Amino acid sequence: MTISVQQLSQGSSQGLKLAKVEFINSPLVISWYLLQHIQRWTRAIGIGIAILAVTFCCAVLPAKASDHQDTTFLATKLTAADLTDLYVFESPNNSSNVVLAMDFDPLIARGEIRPFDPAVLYQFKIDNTGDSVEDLVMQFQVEGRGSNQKVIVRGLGKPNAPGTISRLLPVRGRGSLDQPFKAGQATVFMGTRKDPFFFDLEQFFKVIPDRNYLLQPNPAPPFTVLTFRPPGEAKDFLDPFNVHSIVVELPKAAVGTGKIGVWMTTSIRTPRLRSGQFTQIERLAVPALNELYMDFKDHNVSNLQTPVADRENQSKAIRGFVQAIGRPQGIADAIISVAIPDVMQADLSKGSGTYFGTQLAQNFGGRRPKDDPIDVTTAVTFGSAVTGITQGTIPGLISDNVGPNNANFLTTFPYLGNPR
Amino acid sequence: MLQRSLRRRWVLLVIGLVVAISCCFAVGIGKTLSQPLSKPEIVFPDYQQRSQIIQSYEEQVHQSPDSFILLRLLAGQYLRRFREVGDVEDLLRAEQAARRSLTIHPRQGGATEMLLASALLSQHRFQEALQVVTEAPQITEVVLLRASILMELGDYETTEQLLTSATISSTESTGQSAIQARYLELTGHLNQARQLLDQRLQQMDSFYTTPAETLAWFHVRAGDLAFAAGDLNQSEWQYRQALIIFPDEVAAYTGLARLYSAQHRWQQALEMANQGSDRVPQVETLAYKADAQRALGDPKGAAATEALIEVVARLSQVQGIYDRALANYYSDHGIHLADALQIAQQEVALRDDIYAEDTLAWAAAANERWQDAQRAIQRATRYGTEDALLHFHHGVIAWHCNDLATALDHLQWALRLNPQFHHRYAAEARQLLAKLRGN
Repeated sequence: MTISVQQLSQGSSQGLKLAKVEFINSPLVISWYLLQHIQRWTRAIGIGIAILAVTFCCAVLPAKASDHQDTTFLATKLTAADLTDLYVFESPNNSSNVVLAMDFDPLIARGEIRPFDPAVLYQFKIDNTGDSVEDLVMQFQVEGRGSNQKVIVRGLGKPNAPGTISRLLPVRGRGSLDQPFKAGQATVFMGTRKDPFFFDLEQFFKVIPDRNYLLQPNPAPPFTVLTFRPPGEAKDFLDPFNVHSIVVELPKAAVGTGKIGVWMTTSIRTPRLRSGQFTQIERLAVPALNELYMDFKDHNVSNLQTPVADRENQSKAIRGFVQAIGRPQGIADAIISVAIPDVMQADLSKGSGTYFGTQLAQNFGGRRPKDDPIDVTTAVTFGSAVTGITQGTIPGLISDNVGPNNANFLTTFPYLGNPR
Repeated sequence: MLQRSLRRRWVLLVIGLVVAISCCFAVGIGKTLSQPLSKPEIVFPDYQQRSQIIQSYEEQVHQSPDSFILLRLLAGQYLRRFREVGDVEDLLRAEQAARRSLTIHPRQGGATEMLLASALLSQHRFQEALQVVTEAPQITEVVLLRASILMELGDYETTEQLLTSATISSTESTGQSAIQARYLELTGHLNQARQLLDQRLQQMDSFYTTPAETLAWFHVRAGDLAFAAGDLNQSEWQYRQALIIFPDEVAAYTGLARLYSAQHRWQQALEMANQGSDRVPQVETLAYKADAQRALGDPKGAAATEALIEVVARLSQVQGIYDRALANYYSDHGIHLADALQIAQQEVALRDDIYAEDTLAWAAAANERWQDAQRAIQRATRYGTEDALLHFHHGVIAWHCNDLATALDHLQWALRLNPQFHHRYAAEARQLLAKLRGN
């Protein structure tokens, strides 16, 4: 005995066939369906192979600036943990205070509401003994989901253990997003701000296209485009975008008395850690260090380490880059001497500062929101700034010709401008 | 051959080790599989702002029409909205924006090429998509996309080679996990595929800011794999979870309609099929709807639904697209059998993957071309894919070809994988097995 496929398919609609054909052949019905369903049906094209496309829609998020969208993991999966810029500056309104600002979660479009992720632990780490190991930390998280997210502040305090595995300190304060509040001696703001960073990113990628975070390995220079755009033509790519920020103002005395080094980290819980522990997934301090000099594949290595490891790893990358562009090693030595380890240096005993001023001008140092670290970095790397070395300069790359827009900053806390 | 086999084993060993190590570290993953009904984690509904974000980018592009980065960002947003809303116009917009971006600045490191390839892929323009990623810089993500396209085209050997290199270079992306899981699934390693996907989901679920549609899609995939493994409770939970996360996830409605049909929960199957087909009238979803209507004693409703399937079929043909789901529907219901065979043959010509071969086998069987059916089903099952329906098809075809041992083997395999794999065929597999054993 055999069973045919048709027999196996008993219950099929042979009897309906005729009615169906008649139904289908009705011009009225066809028109109705064409009107009602053609667009929806055409939508179906492709959804059938959704198995593929999702991976790549979420895998592709382009553009990176100061440290915007660092590493594939951060850019494609957890932008909430993607650190962009660190600022350390003397308070404009109280000479006894220092301000720390951390920007993360870049490229927030105008009007876009982007939430904070409760899974991420944000930390300022402060070394006040000169060994690149944190002596004090200040921790931030949000709790809750939806419109009721609140900020939790822990520290300033000694870390339970320095390094890449963190434990939470006791809670020092709580507050609302987008509103300044007090947490111990600190005034805290966590919310959305206009991205204060300014840079002609578009032209930078034309100069050095292979620093684009998705292209690896990065081929070495020479560059095919050798100039930034002139003033008036240069554009601040980040001008329309907002960013998430944490800004803290606190007494200098709570942080230290002399030179300090500051960096910031993001951490998450992972299943392999014991309860209450967070593992570091990004670290950042000096702007443009990773982007200009370091191969992308090394970014994540750097992100997962402490500043103690920077001298070996990042120095090698800087020397390699300087050699590749045909400039003397004195340039690399100068960059390494001021930028490595990757911590933002500041001298709390000094009243006012300039970018890299702790190292180069014996002033407060640090970085203010209106400082132009791109121009400083390019002027040293491609020009003769700091070193006086003129051999192999590339004049068209000394400045990106984009400066700060005063409208993007506030004179009072939290100092970073209101979002677009 | 030996080299290929060794390479495959090596890939599987590496993936298996990653899975095993991760599972050792993972807390409570077994619990996730066996105790599924915990309170769902909700992600931020980012899709609600998509059109506003797109409008913002469109304005920026209008102001800076030569900005290749803004065009790239805009293309990415169009693709996201396509996945969320299903409007094919967004695919065309994404394609256009990506092409403009590449025209302005051709050296973008693969990022824009991936967007362009994704837009082409979603339009079923497989070869064009493959060409784009083949010519793009071979960064890990591009290699993975290439592997994924080749998997759809049925080139599993090259897929395996690409996954080998991708495994070496990076283990961090969710996309990589999804593609590896698909490869494992297709090549007969269903449990490893499930472990890999579940492990990745556990991490994704912990982040409130994961894009909702992306997370929902991963839950759908987990639901699909659970169904294939006969873990119906887990499958239902995963589909439901997907709908909580993203209420317009059509694939979740289709998955639930399939699941409830298999369990003869017809009213629920009808509800889910209605919800899915109201959003996007896919043949597979409509087929579940028609079956449910018929089972619930609504032949007029079933006829109307089948009429809609016919309209979809006609529109397919007008656009030169051949839908394997339609061929399967015809074969399953014993209608338009010549059309079913033609569609299946077109599918194999377009992309000769496991499921195109299965479609061809079943259509050939429906047309009583048993030798053709046997050749096709042997190709469809050559990797030991753990899909009960494939093995049921193989069992039936083998039985017709008087290869009783093979028939017995595959029918048993089908029922072992999932005793409720199909609302009708599961029972028929048992009947046929009883006959075979009686012989």
